Amino acid sequence: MIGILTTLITVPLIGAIIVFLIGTKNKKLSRLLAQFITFAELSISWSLFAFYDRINKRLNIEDEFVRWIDSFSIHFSLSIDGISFVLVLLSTTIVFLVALQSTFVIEENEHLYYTLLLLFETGILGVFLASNLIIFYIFWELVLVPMFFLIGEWGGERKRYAAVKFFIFTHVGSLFMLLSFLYLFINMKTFSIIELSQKDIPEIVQTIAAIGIFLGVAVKLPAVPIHSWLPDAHVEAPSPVSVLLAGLLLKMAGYGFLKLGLNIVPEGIKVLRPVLITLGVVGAFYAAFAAIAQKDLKRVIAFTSINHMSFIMIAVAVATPLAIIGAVFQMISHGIIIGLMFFLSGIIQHHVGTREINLLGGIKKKPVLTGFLIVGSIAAFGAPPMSGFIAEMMIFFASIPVYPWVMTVAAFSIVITSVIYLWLLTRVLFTNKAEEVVFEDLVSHQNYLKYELSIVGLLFIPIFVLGFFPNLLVSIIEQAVNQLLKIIG
Amino acid sequence: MEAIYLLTIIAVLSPLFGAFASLFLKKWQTIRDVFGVLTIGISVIMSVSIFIMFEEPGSLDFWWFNFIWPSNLSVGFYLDGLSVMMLLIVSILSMLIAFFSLEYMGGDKYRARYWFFIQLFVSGMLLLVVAHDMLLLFAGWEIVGLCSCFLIAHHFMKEGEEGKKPALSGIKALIMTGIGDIGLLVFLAWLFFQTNSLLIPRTEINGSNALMSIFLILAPLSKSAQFPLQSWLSSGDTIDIDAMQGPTTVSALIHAATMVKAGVYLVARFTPAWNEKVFYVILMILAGISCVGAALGALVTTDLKRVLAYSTISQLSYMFLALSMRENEVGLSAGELHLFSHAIFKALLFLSAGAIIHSVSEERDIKKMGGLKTELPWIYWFMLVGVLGLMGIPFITNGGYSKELIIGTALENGYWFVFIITVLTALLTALYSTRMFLMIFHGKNRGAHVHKPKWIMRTTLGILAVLVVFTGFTVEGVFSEFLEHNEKGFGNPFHINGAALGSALGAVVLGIVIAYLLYGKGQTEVAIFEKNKILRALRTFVAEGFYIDHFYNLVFVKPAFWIGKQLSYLKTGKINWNMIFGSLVSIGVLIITVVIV
Repeated sequence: MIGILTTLITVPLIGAIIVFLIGTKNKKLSRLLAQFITFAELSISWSLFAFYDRINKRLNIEDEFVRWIDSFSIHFSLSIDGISFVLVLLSTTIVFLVALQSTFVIEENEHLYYTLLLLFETGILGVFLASNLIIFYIFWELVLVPMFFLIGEWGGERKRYAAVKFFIFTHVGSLFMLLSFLYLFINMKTFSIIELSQKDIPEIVQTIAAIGIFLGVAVKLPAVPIHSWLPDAHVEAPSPVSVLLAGLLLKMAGYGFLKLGLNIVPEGIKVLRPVLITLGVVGAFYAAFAAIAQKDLKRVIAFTSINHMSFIMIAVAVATPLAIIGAVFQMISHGIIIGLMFFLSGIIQHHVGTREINLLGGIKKKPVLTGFLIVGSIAAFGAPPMSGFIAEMMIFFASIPVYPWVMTVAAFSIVITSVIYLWLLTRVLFTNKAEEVVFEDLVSHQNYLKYELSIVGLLFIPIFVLGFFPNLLVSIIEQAVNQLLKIIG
Repeated sequence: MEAIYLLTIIAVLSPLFGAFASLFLKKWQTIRDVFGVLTIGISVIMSVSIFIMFEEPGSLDFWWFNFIWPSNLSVGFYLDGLSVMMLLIVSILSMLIAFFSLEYMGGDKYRARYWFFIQLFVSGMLLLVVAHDMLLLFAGWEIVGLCSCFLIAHHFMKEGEEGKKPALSGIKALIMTGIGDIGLLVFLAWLFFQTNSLLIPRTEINGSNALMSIFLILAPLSKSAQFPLQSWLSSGDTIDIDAMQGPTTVSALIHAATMVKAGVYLVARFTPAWNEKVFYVILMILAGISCVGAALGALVTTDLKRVLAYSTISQLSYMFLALSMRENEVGLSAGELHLFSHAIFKALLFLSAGAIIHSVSEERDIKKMGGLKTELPWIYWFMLVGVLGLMGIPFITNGGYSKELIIGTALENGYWFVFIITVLTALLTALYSTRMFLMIFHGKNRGAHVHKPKWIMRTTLGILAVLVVFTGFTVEGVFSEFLEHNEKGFGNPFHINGAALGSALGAVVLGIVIAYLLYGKGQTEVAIFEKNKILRALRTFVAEGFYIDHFYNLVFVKPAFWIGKQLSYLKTGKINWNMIFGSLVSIGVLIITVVIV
């Protein structure tokens, strides 16, 4: 049965091929087409709200299922619940904005770039919608390929190094995940996520599978000892790709924790709890401290991104409804906010020619850019009334009663994060140094600065809306979270 | 919805709207500035109407969102005597200070930022005092902290190294109050877990314990700048990185009249519900230390604003001392009354200081002033009223009433520690305020150029001076009005205790006399301090803020940057196996610890 979910995944895939073919003749047309396709995806995904049942708080979209390899129970099957729905919305929105923003950044081989972008969209939507482990794995790996080329081709000086490092790290992690999928199949004779989540899996099987899943997912999150690909990838990637990386690719990990971890092997995750919580707290602090002395704007943002994602691991370890709602909220809000910050750093890089923090004194003469940077930073360290505040509050409210000592210590990393951002603002904006070099460059590109800023400015809307009306999001995911944790009600 | 809550919402939202609207008025600068005063003025009208219409405590709650299945989270506004009083103080003083800044900040190039944050601040502060649940309170708490940070950093465009100080001061304030935010956050999470609700508890909470007391106490200590978290408000003389780097109007509004009172307000709110002795004992001891220590600090520093900042810390300690005598309901009321009067006379003092600093071309050192009485006669008299209020002269100023009540309560209930501290501090207060006053206005001018302030400044100071005296006379009537509308926990404090009055008055008079003997003829130094080595060392010790900042710098700031720097070397991609091994082992140890805990 083919329906709207399959359409959602196949449109960018077919689009990618067409964009590539047209692109060999007419690059500009291919770009416009790619942007149109991402817009179409955006419309389709938002139109899914038509299926939203307000009373039961769920989406009335049936699972889609195509038989493929019966003997191994590998079927092309897709399903959607509240959590995947909001992540799909986030993905299509971010990809659309990235496609628009790329107009100003990508100049070489445009058609290839947009082809890869659309492939990435297919992959990421597939991950969020798949309901069969093998299909999940295929999409999970499909995301890597375009990402590898996007970093390796359009990146900065050490792009090859960063791309290869990214690929090796995440791919090795994924292999562990594949092994644990196979292990689950050997024991339970099925790859279907829905069936697996309903079966009674023995605890030992759960634990072993959970370790594999954890390794695969933690690399992407990234958890701290295996995080080192992330700062490099971010620094070398062009800014729109950084947005994809931080805004969407890291969310795959959070989703993996929920959909594979808590959904299929809850007992295994329970065993891993101490590891999760320790790595979460260590990650929060490590990233916060590592960000203090960085000199590159993007690297600072990348490290604070690790800090934010660590909280998701903590929430998974706590695994109460409030914690999971907080985790999903954090994923969405972090996707938007960190996307915004990477967009801004890209704009600065592009117009000023450097991201060296000490050289950026001149940008304070651009009031809108300055204002965006200030508000974005405030949002990033989770101040009210922005969405980050609600997310962090939920996670802390859920976890402090469970792990009072550990979480009290972890709470202090919030202070450090706020200091990092203010220290960043201090060095960039609140300084009396005005670098002339910086300023001249700004003028020459000025004509389209305002278009770039208005694209980026759109992201402030969800940040504030979710901050004031968190229920818009909570009511969509509530039911799915209860289902995930197998709470009847 | 009752009309009174509609007014409350308007009072909170009007400055918020103003803040964002003022961003679009950059072409009409004067209009924007006046507009800023007007939006706060609307809050004043609303607060006064609330005060008039107010009958009994009540709340308006909205359903906000499904915070946790199955219970819902509601947020809302709560009005009782305490919040109505805070509403009035915050809105009226904010408006007066905003009006004052029309002239004071009139020449500032970057005042768009100033007006934005001032209005946002007022909105956050009003939200804080009318919140019915901890979430809104916390939001307000964070907003005022952020605005305070940005307003302290306002002058970062100064030339050279001077420009660094304001920015660093802002960050310092944010870090140090951030510690309190974490305390409050942890406490809130615990409270939510314990009571399954976020509404501010009015009755005793089950399971209050010593550990949570410590987290709860962090919040008022940091926000109200008590020992050992006081140094963001006023640091040592050579470090000079503190909240006083902001414009003087900001110091008056945020670091004297309103935001630093948030800690006192929080404790007053929680007193009926928090029945844990440890909390009050710790509060009493720390407030006692800050009370005397800050007064000593004010005695030796020569920076006009820092004298006032130290005296703010010292006076806030008075309030905490009063609140810590919680078995006695009168103590609570006395603390709140002192909050009320201190807000007014400290606003007057800070604005007078602002007017003086503005008149003598941004000079803050009182050693370089002197003899300003003839040139600034108006400010002389207004500041005199403020100083009398600070010293607590009974019957003619509001400060007198409240201070005597605190001392009287301590005496009557046998809190000898509080009694001795408060009387001693009364003596020191009289000493340093007379010293400051004499050094500014008496003797000969030691080289300050004076250009006189215009009518806006004088009018504001006049109104505040009248308020200081007027609220003193009418204190019983007005304050009883507030007390009647409190649910419980507050007692009527009004009576005069002869012994307390006598000892306080004696201490004050003694202080004035000593100060006059030492500084009456225009001296700037005391001879004995110049001769004696030990005394000189002591003075340096106090003037350096008891070396607390140096300590923090050594223990927290430097290591943090050191770690950060070491970690930043890791980006090279070269792998250090020892380090990897070390980190794996330490993570393992941590995991084991978590398992055990």
